[in-house]
Amino acid sequence: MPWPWRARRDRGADLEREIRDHLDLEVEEHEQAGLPPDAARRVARLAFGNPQLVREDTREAWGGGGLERLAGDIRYALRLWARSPGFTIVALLTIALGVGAAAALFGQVNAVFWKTLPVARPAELRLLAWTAARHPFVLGPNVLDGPGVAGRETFGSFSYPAYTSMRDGTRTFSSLACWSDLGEARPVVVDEQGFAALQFVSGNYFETLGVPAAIGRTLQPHDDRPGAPAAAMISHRYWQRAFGAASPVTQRTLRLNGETFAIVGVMPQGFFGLDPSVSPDVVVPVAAVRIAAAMANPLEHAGLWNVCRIVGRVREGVGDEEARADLEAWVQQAIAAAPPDGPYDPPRVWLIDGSRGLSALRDAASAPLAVLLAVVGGLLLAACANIAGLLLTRGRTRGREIATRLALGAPATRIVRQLLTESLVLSVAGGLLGLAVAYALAGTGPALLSQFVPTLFGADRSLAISAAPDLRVLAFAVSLAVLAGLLFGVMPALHASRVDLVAMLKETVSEPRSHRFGITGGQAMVAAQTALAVLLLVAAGLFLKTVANLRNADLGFDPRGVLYARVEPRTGGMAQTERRQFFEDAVKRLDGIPGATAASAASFAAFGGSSDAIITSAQAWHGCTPESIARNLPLRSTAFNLVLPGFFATMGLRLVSGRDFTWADNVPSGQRPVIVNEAFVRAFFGNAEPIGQAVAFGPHCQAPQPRFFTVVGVATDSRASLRGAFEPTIYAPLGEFSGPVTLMVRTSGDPALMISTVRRAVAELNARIPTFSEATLVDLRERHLRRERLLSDLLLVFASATLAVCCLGIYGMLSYSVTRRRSEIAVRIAIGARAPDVVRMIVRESVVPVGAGVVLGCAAAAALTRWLGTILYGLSGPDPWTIAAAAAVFLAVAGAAAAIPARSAARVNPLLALRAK
Amino acid sequence: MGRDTARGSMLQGMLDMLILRTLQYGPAHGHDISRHIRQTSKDVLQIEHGSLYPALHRLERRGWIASKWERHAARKREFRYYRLTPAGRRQLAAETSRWRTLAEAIASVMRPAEEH
Repeated sequence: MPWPWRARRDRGADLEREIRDHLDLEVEEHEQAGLPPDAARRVARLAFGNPQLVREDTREAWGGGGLERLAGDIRYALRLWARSPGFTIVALLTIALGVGAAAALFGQVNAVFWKTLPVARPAELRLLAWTAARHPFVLGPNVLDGPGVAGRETFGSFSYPAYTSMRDGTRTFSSLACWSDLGEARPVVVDEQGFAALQFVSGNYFETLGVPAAIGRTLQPHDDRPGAPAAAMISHRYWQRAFGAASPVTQRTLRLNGETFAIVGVMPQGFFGLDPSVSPDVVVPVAAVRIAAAMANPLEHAGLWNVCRIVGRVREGVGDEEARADLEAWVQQAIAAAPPDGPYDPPRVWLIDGSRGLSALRDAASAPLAVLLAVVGGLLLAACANIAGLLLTRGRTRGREIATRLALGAPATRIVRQLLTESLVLSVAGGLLGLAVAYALAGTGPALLSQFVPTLFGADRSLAISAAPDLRVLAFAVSLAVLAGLLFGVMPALHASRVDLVAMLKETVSEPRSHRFGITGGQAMVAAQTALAVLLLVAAGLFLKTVANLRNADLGFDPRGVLYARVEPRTGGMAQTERRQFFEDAVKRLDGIPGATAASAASFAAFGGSSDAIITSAQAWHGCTPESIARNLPLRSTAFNLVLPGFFATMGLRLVSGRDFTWADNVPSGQRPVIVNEAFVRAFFGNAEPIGQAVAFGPHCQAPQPRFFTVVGVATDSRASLRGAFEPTIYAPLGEFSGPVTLMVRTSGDPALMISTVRRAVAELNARIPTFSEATLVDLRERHLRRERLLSDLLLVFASATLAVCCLGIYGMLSYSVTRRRSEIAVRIAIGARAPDVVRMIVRESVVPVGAGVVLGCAAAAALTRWLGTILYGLSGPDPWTIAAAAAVFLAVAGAAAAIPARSAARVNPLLALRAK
Repeated sequence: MGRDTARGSMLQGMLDMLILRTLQYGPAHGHDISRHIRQTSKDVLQIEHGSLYPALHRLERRGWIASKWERHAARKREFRYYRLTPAGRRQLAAETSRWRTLAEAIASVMRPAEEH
């Protein structure tokens, strides 16, 4: 058992006394035997042996020797690093940045993928999803995408009757709650505050999740009854932002879409519900969905299936399969109570683990985070390689010290252990510094991630997930630092301990030891870093090209000069019947604005709204013609869009034949005109003349009586997304469309300057119906490029950093070589070598490692192109130009880095150099 | 430790046994012990002093001997005296019997060939 530290010190003193006493007694003995005093002393000393060795061996016997050695090594390492502050600071910063960035990234990954929801006992929660091949019991597209089940597309929301059936009938769940976030599909406006991120929840929602109120009380079941006083809760952040953290807030009210709600409580800080990708400002009972709904009594409608996402807490001891089957039975019973016309498949219910909530954020963030992880990992590797190279260089200058210690009897493992300790001290110190970096970067994480999630009302979402480092991140950072230390320390340590003693003691500096292939460790490091730098440069180049290709993709129309503004009359409490007139008036008013050359409106606008959508806004149904129905042809999908007259002129599309809609068409009458695009003609009519033909789509195609429309015009094709194809599209008059509508204006000047004018124009029409998500089409297209642009920017930054690190390494290697070969250079110059010869001699040392690295990097880059495949755009296979350009950039910068020491070599004064030797 | 450790545990064990045996006669300090062993063995066994102290401290750690700084009777200074503990006595008995068994075994192998 090792003695404690203070006792060790005392024992050390004791031992000294003992040894001294022993020697004295020996001397005495010899003197008594007749020797003169100094002879006696000498004999005694010789007989005793080496006192230092005695001390060491005794200390061994005390145990805990390993720990004491380690402490000694650490102290020595600290002194060593303090002696060369330049190198130490550079190394510390490099490690801190690398480990810090990796830890920050890991913190993001932790927050997005592994942290559970801030609710009670999250492992007990289950989210519901369902699948059914035929589901006519769902009216139209009124259902939300579900949380993923392996390899399947599921639906994630239910009708209110289905929910109540499950809630009241289940015996396997202790509680089931309903909630929904309808986003921009059902916008809600808070008077004097603007648009609010709002969620509808059932009365037992907070009870099911086990979340208390931070202030006031949570919503309760009695708030969720029809006719109950309108109650709302607000989020902590909203309370601070909109109410200035005023108290008492429970006496304040909110007007939502014209209706007054009393604030009954504030949600706890950091609570965001069940979807990490959204953070609601206001939460109201499901019974209040009337404020945003398109129809009366949406809760009683059996065909409206976007009302309830469901979360439940399973009873203890109940298995998932039993619970699932139980709920499935209740859902099927609810459908059977109000069955649709025609055959349907009873839905299959799926239970999904709810401890981490919905996967929207995870799905959006996984690709960018993976790329970032790879890039940061590469940078860290490059940094380690660099430090390893520098340590190898330093190792040679410490050759004498190590040779001396080996000669004094230290075993090689002891040397290796000590050198490794030095590296670890450096890396752990750098790693702890890096943790500080990670803490600093933690706040930027959610902001960065919000770029990958669709916007809400035109602004980036403010994610409520907290990416602050926790224990897991701390452990990761420390292990990474230790790993880095071992990685860059082990080779120099092994190399340095294998020193040729005699040669080392005689010479001042030795030749580098070549390994099998004739390159040293330092050169291998340079090669590795070169490969990494070239790889990152190629990746950056590929993404830059992708962005450029996407930006220039042909959309079928010219996006310049077009401005969008979305509007939803329901936010001003407008009735359904008044909508048609409102849209018409708005468009006519916008058309009259000075600077506007055309104006129109549409239910779906290319690139507008929530385009990589949580709720599908581009509605794609099946199209049919009388012929296709009669001949029972397979259904072909078509997109459809509801528009007002002037749409094609505003968007910059041409009418190839026929006519545009008129205002008379917008009023329901006998004639049902539609316009189709060329792709539709190709798909459904082939070469036949489309004008005058009958078509139908979606539910209008269903038996028993398909209701057909007449084609009155054909327009040119357009694309709705940068990577999508030209799809068949049917255009029909907008009428009194019950969802949010996009107003569009084509301007003669810069559309960005017209945003406030448009806003004002609509406000003059009706002050209680504000527009939202105003943006120019060019900006929206840029937003679609956000992910690729972010990746290319990041890659460019990291590639530059790796390039700089690598060139530092080349510079270091060559300048050391110059120092080492100074006498050789001097001799050559004295004999008659000229500057270019000397430069060539020095640079030649770097040719092999750099060349190998470039080749390796290019090969890896070719493989990378294949692997990146679908993320890139417009690039088929490995792109030789990008690879060549990256290699050229690298060689140019590396050449400059190599030129500096080479030039200084050429200026060596032979006389001075040789004399010094 | 950079030294020849070929002595191995057998020699180390013997040294331990010799020390314990010496202390059986009474407390002694380090110099005394080495001198006693040298004199009793008639200069055959000379303890390298560099092994003595590690051995003493090892035995102390194992609890077989205990040490104390005591005043020497004749001189006006303190020395560190070691004494045998009860556990040490038991260990000495065990080592002694093991040593005897070993010595007899070696002796029977080395005995000149007698009747067949």
